[in-house]
Amino acid sequence: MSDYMDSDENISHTIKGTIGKIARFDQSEISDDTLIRDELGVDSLMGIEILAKIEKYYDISINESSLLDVERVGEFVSLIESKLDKK
Amino acid sequence: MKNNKVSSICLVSPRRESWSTTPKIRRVLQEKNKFLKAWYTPSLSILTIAGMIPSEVHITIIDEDFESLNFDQSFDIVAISAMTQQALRAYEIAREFKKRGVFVILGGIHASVFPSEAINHVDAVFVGEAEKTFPQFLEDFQKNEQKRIYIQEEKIDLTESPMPRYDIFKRKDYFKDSKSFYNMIPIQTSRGCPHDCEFCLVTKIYGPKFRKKNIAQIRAEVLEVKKHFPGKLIMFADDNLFLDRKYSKELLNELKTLKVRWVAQSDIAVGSDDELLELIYESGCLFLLIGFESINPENLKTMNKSSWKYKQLNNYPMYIENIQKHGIIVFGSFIFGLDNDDNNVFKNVVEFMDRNNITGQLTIATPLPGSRMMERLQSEDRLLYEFPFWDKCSFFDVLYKPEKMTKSELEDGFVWAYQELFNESSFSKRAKYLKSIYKNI
Repeated sequence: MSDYMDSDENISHTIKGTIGKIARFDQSEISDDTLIRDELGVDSLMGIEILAKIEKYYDISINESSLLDVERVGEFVSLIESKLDKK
Repeated sequence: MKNNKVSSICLVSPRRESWSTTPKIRRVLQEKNKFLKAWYTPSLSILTIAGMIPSEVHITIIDEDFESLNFDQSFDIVAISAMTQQALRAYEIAREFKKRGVFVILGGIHASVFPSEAINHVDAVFVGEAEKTFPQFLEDFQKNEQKRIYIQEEKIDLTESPMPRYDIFKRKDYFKDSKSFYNMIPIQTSRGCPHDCEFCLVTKIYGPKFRKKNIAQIRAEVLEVKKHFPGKLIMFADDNLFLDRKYSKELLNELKTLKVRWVAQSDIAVGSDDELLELIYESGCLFLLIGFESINPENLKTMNKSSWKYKQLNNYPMYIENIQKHGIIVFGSFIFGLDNDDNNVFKNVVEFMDRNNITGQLTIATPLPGSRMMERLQSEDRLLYEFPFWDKCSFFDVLYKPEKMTKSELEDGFVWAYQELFNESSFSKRAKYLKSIYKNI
């Protein structure tokens, strides 16, 4: 398990860590306002690996095109939080 | 004789149609854009030329795909780099600037294969690589002794190629939608390809011998790109990043330390080398663009002299699976309208891509001026347009009579294949497959 996946309490921390590791950014460079595509370079293809890691960690299923439909990291965190609430 | 002063140079990449000049094809490709991977990169030729211009000269770069040219702006020299598809627009630009007394020069692939055409439109033409001829021109121009044509006969040593001026774009804001021009930034590590495919100009322009930059040069270029384009994918512009495996592994080990995401072109043979594939993934590769070109053996047999691609055909599924297993997305490139393609080609390619869970790009066979394919089609009297039809050389337009179908059948089949492959449900299927791999890495 990676460092950023050690805190069950902080979903935002885990998600930003996952995105950072895959997009090759330090987690400290990623905030809720960070633009997923334009600032981190995450496109639909890179998004697949991010979704896979998050699905596996939380044991949830996320629609494959969900990263295409959000602009900012904070929106993506909210999406995952709502999935976890429904779990 | 009066000397010329050079205080400002404008480097221009002329505009082009991004998808197709054929309305029914363009309409469908644009509609499906959400699931298509469009590549928007700055012209590496322009950035490299900028790297040869002395620091005291003011440089303006205009990429006409995103910005308008102001013909009334004053420059000492306008330098244009154009591929075939951009050539006619390049000539229009040259005409406007020449009318205003500006000295206009032109280089790039099209001018390199048709210098006799290009010279009718500009003041000086560059044939081949410009790392030596462009500085020579600048020296000649300042003495007012410039030539009409500069030809680079011998292939240049790439370790002497200057750092492309990635810094020059810092005036622009890349993070606002209206100006988010590029999603990939090109770096070239090598030139040359031994395959000499009938439709391709790479071997003709760059030669069959593989020439490369050194690792320190590439490291410096990657760091420069990271500095000026944080968060942008690096696109290695080499025609095949893995021709020299020892060099590739050294490069990949260096990339691992640089924390970047990148994409590159390759041939399918990388699929047999597990050590290389591990390094490719660990060093940040997102996808490899692999030129399968066709899955019809008869097409592949005659594509190049050694039938190299034909010999790999049986390995395609096994190698694709192995590349994917290592966490690397396979972005396949397929050409429609080759001489052995009949109406079944569309279904066959779609099924192949679906079965192997690959995404990619589909193009229409395009005879480029200077290629053996163009010579053959001319001699067979199969071209559909009179010269110069350069603006139609988009790779998404039918330019010659297909052998085993009509032009309309090729266009309709091409559109159908795009619709089948680039929609929510096929994206979702491919993504599910890749997710199952990533969960185990």
